[in-house]
Amino acid sequence: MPATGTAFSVDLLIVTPDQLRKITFKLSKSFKPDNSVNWDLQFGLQERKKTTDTFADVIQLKVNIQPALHAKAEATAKKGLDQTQTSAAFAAGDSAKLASKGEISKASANAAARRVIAVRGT
Amino acid sequence: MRIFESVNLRRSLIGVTSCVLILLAATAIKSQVCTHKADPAFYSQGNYTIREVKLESPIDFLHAISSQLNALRSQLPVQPGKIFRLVDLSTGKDIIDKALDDEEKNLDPRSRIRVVLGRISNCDEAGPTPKLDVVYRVFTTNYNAYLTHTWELKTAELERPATTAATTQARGFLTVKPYIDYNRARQLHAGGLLRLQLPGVFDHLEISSSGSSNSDVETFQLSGSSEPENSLISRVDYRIAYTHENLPAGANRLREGTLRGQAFAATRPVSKHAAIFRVGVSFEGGNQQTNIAPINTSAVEDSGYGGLKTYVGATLRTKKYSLAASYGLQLGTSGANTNLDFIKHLVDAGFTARWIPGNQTPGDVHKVLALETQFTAGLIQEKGPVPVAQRFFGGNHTHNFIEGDTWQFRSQPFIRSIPENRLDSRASLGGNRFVSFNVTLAKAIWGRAIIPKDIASDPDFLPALEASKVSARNILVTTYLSKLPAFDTISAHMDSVDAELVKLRAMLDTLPADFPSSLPSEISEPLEENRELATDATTIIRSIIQDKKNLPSKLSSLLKEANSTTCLGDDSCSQLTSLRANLRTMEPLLLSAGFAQASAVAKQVEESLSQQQPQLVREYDSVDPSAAVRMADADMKLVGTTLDSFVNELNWIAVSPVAIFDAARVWPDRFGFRYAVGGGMRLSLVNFNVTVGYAVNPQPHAGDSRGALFFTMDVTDIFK
Repeated sequence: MPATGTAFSVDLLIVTPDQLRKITFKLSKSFKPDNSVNWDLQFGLQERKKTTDTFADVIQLKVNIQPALHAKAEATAKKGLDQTQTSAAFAAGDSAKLASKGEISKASANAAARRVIAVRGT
Repeated sequence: MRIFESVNLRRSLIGVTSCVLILLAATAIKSQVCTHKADPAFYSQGNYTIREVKLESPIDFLHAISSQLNALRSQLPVQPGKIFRLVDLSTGKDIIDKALDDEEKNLDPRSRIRVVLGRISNCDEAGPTPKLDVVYRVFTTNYNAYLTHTWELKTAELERPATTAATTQARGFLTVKPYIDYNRARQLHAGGLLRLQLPGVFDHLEISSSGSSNSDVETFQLSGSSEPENSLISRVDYRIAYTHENLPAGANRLREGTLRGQAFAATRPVSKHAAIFRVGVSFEGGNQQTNIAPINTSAVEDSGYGGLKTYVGATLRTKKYSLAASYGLQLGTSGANTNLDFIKHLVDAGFTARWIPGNQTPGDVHKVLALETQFTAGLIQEKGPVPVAQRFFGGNHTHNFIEGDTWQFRSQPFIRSIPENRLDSRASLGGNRFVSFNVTLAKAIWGRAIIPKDIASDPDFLPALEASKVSARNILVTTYLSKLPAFDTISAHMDSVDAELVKLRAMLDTLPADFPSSLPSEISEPLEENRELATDATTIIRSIIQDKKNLPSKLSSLLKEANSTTCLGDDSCSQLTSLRANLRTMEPLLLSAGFAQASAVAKQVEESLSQQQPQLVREYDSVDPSAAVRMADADMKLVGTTLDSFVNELNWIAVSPVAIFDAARVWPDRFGFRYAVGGGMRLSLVNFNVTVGYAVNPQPHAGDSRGALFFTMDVTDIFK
């Protein structure tokens, strides 16, 4: 893929309406040493028991997006997460949590995070 | 309204403005064009040298961490004199991102969008040694879900366009805010505010004091707030405060000492117009004195005072308009008794409009036309003696009905050509009725947008910003799905899926940790791989199903895919479909490996899930999600409005001509209505703005001046 545009990152933070979960979604476009484009997805989840508590990290995942998914990653960067992707992102949050407890492998958690991009419709 | 007359300060402002203009002009002359901006790899071939590295932010809030950003400059891989490489540009962006993450650790926004851009500029392509500049730009904002939607913030945006958002997100353990001010009644006065953040029920302790040669005001208060969950009420504030005031009123003085216990509440936005309703109550007691001679009216010059104040109000905010209306009721006594001596009624309504030119050039000053109007009226029903300080005096200083509340609700007539407490020609007595009407019109004619031209016209910037808004909306929609009772049935039906997964997990647990080494690798390796996938998938899906409260948000991920025929090829299958594929792969492998019973279980579970999944998808599709969409849209409408203000309305420097008109009167007063007509200029800088002008009193009476020069100055400490 040719190196077009700037290097940039779009970082979204949102606290769910019950104020108990904080989700961060960050999509970064950068350049490799050979000047080709690289996309990274970072997905973070923080939780707290009560609204008066401070948020605690459950896990932070950083996933390098496969070249085959670049078109979907670019579409996500330009158009945002669609509803299928947000459902996948919530499920990826659960996977991340299970991985942090050692109940599933990190590879499965990474696969769940990659799926956030892969399930994009158009 | 604060009035200040200072030639030196005006000269300083003219000087600052001139310097800014010269610098901007010099920057424009110096810039060179990069002809391959769309293909930055052109500059990354080892022949371009970096001339300068810039770190820029359009939001003054980030100036608070400018020292950290400047410190970062030396850590960046791009440095003046070095060969430019795209990978270094990217690494520098990542370093800045991390520094901003660290800086925001102590903030607690409900939502935030941040964009960091790294790009090249000012390319010298024709010289013997090609050079370029590297520019990093940061755009960030967050929204205080309570303040963002309210009338007072919109008003603040009008008067302090560059600082309002930053102020609402400023947090700190200790805030010290000195100020100096002038009005004709109090003359030059100065003071300060000390705010200490506290643990426990009360969030803050605040002490403020100001004084001049003829006046003093002191306040001590403890305040706190809470944000109830799952309630129509968005926020409750409470406060205990003591205020002492000693102020001139014409030839006389008004002195008050009052202890207050107060509570205020605001609803979440309701209706499609996102209306917010407010209620407030204040119990007050204290004393008031004047130095006027004893008078033969129902007014009491020296007395105790007690009372109850309450109000209801509402705000509406659209992209262009803000509307606020309030009704206040005060029941008062004139001493240490329970007799109802007076009833005060107040009505206050304000309307603000902003018209944005439709054909704006990205990055140019937003030439917004702003109209601010306010109508206020009051009436005192006298049942007994009324403390003088409770009567209506009026002038060019605004008085809030309930001191300390963020809700701006005027309790006195306001007119900019008459000094504070001098509207009533009798001055010493005050009126028992009043009405006032105020209009301010301002139009930005020169300045710079808060989003600079380079960012606003960057082809990646606005799409990325819009994409983040779409993401936020869809995350909210998905979250709100969990609130729809219609999903209860399908959530219950997922229990039978869970039962199958229990059987599957039991089967997987019976398999040996290591398959026999006698198995050929073409069986053992895929078997091992699929067992691990199936084990993790079972754990994940069971975890999701058992979290009933949040299950609806994840049903789509569990059950649905766009194309079940091709989804295995691009990893887009639903989690159940992927698991079923694992089981279909495992079934013959298990049989070949000699685990016939396990193979049978895999087959039985796969078949059961194959039967259940289509039915569950049909049930999912039959649920109407529009209620969740409506709730999300209500939230995002407010976020979007604020974000649009940053992109389309706000300037980091702007000059606006201002026209004003006021009309006000109190009863009884033989002079009737009084007027103020005038004009001036408003200069808004990053965290500093002034409005200077002259308000004419067209019908001056004995003792009145022809008008007043007004000078409004605000400095906001946003860096704590």
